[in-house]
Amino acid sequence: MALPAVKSQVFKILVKAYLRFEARCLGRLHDDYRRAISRALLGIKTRLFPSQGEGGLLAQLAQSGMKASSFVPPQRPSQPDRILRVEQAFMPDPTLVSLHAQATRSGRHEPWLWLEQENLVPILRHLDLGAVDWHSLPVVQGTGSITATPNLDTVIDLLPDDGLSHVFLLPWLKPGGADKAALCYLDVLAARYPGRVMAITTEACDSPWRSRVPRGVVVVDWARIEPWPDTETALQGLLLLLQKSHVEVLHVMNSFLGWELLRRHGLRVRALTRVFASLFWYGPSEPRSLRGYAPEYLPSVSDCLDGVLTDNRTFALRLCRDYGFAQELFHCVYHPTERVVDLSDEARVPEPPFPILWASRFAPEKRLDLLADIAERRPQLEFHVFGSGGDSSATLLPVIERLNSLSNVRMQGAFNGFESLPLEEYGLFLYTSSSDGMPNVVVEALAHGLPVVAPDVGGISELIDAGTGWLVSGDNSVDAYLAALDGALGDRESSESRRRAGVARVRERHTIDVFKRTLLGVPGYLADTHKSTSTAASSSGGEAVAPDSLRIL
Amino acid sequence: MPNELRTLTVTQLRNELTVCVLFFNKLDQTIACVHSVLDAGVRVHVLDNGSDAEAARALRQEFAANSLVKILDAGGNRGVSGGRNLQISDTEGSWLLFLDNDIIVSTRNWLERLATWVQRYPDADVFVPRMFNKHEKSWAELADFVVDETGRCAFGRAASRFANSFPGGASVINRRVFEELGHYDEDLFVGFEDFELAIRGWKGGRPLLVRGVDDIELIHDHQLSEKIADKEAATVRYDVRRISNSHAVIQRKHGILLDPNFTDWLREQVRQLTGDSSQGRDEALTPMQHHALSGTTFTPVHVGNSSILVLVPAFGSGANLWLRLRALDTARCRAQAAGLRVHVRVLDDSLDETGQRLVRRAMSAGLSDELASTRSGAEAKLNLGSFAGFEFVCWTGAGFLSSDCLVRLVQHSRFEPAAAHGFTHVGQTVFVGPQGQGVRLETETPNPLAGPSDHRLFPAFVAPASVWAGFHCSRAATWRNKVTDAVFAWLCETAAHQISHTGAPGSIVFVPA
Repeated sequence: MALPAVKSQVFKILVKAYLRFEARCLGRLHDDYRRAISRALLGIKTRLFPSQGEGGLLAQLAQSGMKASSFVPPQRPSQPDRILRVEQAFMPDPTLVSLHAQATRSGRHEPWLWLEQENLVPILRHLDLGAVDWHSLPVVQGTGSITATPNLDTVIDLLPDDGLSHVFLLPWLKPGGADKAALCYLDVLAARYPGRVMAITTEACDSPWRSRVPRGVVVVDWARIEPWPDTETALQGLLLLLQKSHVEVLHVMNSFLGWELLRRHGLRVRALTRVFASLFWYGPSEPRSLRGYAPEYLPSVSDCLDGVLTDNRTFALRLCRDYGFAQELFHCVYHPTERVVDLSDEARVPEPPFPILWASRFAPEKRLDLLADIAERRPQLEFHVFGSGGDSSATLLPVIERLNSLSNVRMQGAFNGFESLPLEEYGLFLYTSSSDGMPNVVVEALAHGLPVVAPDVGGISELIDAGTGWLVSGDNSVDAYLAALDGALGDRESSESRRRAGVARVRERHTIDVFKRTLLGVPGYLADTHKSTSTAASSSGGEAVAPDSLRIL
Repeated sequence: MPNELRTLTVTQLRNELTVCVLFFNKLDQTIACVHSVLDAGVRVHVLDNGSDAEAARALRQEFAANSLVKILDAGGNRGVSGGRNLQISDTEGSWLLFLDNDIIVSTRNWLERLATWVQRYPDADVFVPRMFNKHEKSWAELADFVVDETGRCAFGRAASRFANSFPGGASVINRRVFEELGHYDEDLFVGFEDFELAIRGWKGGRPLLVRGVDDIELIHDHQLSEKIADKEAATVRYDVRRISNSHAVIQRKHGILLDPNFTDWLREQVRQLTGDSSQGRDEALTPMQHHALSGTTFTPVHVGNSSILVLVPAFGSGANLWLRLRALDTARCRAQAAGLRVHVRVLDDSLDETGQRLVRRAMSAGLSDELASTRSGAEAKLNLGSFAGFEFVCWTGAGFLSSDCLVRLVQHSRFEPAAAHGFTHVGQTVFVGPQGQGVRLETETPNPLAGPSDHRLFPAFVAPASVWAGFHCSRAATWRNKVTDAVFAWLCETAAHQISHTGAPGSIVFVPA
């Protein structure tokens, strides 16, 4: 490489380094040090790089062999954007100007500031603030820019030129109902906007279901890309990413960082993109309080949302009733199940006695204690329990031990999706949760043709009623569950008719097609399809696939 | 049309520019001065303003073969004003670079750079390159003159890179300045003739627009004189009686009183040039006179004839609104004095009855011109009223505008190319709590997408009305009910679309926490 080219490269690297140094450190130094350093750098520039960075277009032309003095600038173009570019081309080298400014900038005591303060005193004295010496106040350098870390820079560099259609903020991708729903959203959108959908997992933990993310979706492990030094810094990085990605729709689903982003910067975020959030039900709460993203965030961020997607209608009505939100804010999108049995082809449920299936994540609100009570009261029935809980609390362990000690309960361990269960062995699905929206396992149980006994909590009653299953009302009463179980096991004919009705209801509301149709009908949820077409065409010969390099982040 | 990008080639500038040097001894430095500009191929006009005959001969001999250098004889020392006036009359072209003969241009491609500056700031009357005073080891500062109610005047470092005064011996001046204001006043033999011209501009309703040039450097050197003629020149240049006369002329003519305590400074200049510290000792016996500015001060600022609509959102019972409007009124008076037509429109976003009564009283008192409601329905935020007839629109949020805030904002927005199609925010915001604790926030490049979500961080900004027209079409305006939120969201939207947001140096807003 020729020496001038090497010099030019070195100069570029030094300028980049200097700009970072100036942005991060120089302003914090004492004026004397700042000036001394800047002067030294100016000296280096003058001596070692006299012909570099000498002012925009003229210098470029001079370097390309054209005499600067004979250069005639172009006429003013008519388009505003061209005007800006031409003006920038004629600007002196900004690094040099900045260096000069730093090198010659005087101290903080500025006469104009003192004069302005004096001129305002006749007014400020009415507030008893006229005596404040503005010069004595600490000077804070303003909110100039959000800086990207190198990792974030890498992500930004990989963004598609025509911007992202959707960004999902998810906590993780683990086995679970909400995660399964998130994958369904990604499936639909990836097919429609290949290469323009990004899923960001915000929590620092493993995401075993990451392998299920469809092609065409960029997955970013935020904790790896941008370790949270503090929440605000993490949010600034997210904000920068949203700005740079020109994303059209942001979807927050169960991500703490996502909700914090809306709480702290909702106005900004909504100025950049359309914003949707998913809410399913109030979180498990102590008796005298209410927890969860809905009560803790929604009232303060509802103005910054284009819509809230729920997986049941009941919760939307409840929120409107509890907080006075406008109903138009909410859109019910029932989560889909991949497979709905065809009862004409499927075998009937096994003849009794058969074991009863209980499957869910282990958590206090899933009421394993209730299951234990039921099992104790019905020793003649056998219960197979599937599930696990990484965060089994101290209160949960005794219950699990109690279940283990019961002879009619078999703890079967964790399961990886409802479809992985040996469903043909079971003739009834029992669900005992005390807090839920529209539990995925209940939908799946119905979809697989199992009669269901479930509590009347959250939006379950939209799915389970006297026609489609056994809905247990009352305040988590064991007797009510026992009555429902006895009814389900005692009347084979009713059981058969209800499970058929249940399957029909699932087919009516929870298929992929219905989900897709409903989701795409949500006002504002679609992105600009024109962009998607161009991306699809340019990605790989028209095939709707995202580059593999984007998937490794 | 401000900020219009006019084509100016280096060749054109070379043809339009004459470098003018007054030659009053200091031969060696004069030769160095002329040589420092000749590489650019510009014409140089040297006026022998009473130099020693031998020095004059030597100078002519030095440049005898150079057709670019024209040396004229003034027939004696006609003073700085008289000499420069001769040069103005004897030259052609739009631009004159006046250089004192103890100054050299140290930037290699200064003409190319100057062409860039002239092109970027077509409305500037004067360009002042950066000057290093070698004898003081310091950079000269671009200065504004400030006057108080009693006519006392002082110079201070300019609040921005625009100023209202210039150093006559180190500036590039557009000839239109002399055509409009007349030549230098020859009653001022030496000293402050440039300042007197600046005052004339201000008194005539058109303060000078002086722009600092950041990337052209001059070196000013008070070298110790060896020759008697040079020493005599120094005593003439820094003669107390002549400078006092200049002060007196300015006071008589304009009622402006300059700081009379200058004898020590003059004596120091003479000492530097001659090595003799006894010169002017008699004058030093003159007792120091009080010359502190007092009361309200005024800094003339050029913004050009224009019009601005100021939007003031108001809520509740209008806490502090009256005082905010009073502060705004001071800023408005300054703006009107600078030639701006200012219209204040209070936006009733959610004023209660008390607040509405207060605004009506403000209108009676002349603090506001109009009250517009922005809460009459879902599209209320669109009801900011018409921008027709205004070149600029200013949004004021929380806080008290400083007296020069409006003019500085408009000046920056109007004359800085980078701000022409974007937003100009206040350069500094002072946040102070009830106990006097607080911070001063400098925002040279404000970014609505960065920092905490506090509207008070954007207490005031100006944008051309053409930019504001985009507010009504913005997404933010369609979903946010409160007009303040809608405007803030709009700022974020524009920042994301790379529309420029800059801070105007010299503008400040005080925000009580």
